[in-house]
Amino acid sequence: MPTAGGTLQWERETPSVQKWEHQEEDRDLKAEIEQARKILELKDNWDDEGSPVFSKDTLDRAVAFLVMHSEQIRKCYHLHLPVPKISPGPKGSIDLHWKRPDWELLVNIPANADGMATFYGDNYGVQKIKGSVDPRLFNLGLASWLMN
Amino acid sequence: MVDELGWTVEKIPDSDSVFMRAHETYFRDGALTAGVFTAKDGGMSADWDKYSSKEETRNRAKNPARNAVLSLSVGGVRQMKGLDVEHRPELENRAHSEIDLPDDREELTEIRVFLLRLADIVIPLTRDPVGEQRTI
Repeated sequence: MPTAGGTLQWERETPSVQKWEHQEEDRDLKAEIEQARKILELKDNWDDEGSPVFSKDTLDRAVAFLVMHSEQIRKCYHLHLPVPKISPGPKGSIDLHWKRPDWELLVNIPANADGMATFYGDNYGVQKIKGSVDPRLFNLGLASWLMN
Repeated sequence: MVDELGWTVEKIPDSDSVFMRAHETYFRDGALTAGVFTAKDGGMSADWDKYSSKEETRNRAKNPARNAVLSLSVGGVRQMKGLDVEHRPELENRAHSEIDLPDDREELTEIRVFLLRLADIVIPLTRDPVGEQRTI
């Protein structure tokens, strides 16, 4: 109860819906990352066709790329990054694949720690995005695509 | 042209298809993932449907139960820049064919997206890998 002459201290509230959405998003992202850790359980020649094992370092770089973009998009644009599928790529690499009704994006994180991430996306029409990025850095071009 | 094994190497028509196996690890929640499109020793192996049934392709796997079979339209593959499907018969597999994937990783990433759209699953996984915690 405010009193005359006293300082009124209103508690700053986070709208419950927004808070809930963040928790939901975090939970989905964490669940996908947790699921992806099973990739590390695969043994050499896991497909009986000579495919190599996946290193923890490669998966960690893929997760770091994903979390960095998710956090930056939330912080700077107040938007939620859709959660991609994290799955085995060619030659020990890791794929991050967003398949949405209006667009699709595949980002490949290579096994080589110094290698660039490659990406391709389109809107199932004429708009396309393709190239290479340093996976250690936030990339505004990719972020813009992810915020479609 | 006849290869060293005695099989005639033929030109595969655009109207035909090739089959390829997809290990269960390349499925997530029942959906195929783009990682399945990877080259082994330079090319991605497939079987021309002129000389192989989809069941025969599956049964060539060391463990058929862990593999699905995909079908790719040869004409569809050839519509992708620089890609071709070539008949490269082997001693025990006259149907053997290969799709040479590019070394350039940007090109490969784009092509894998298109191959994923092109592929039809003609033999799905027959066991429940989710229950056995096998899919990634």
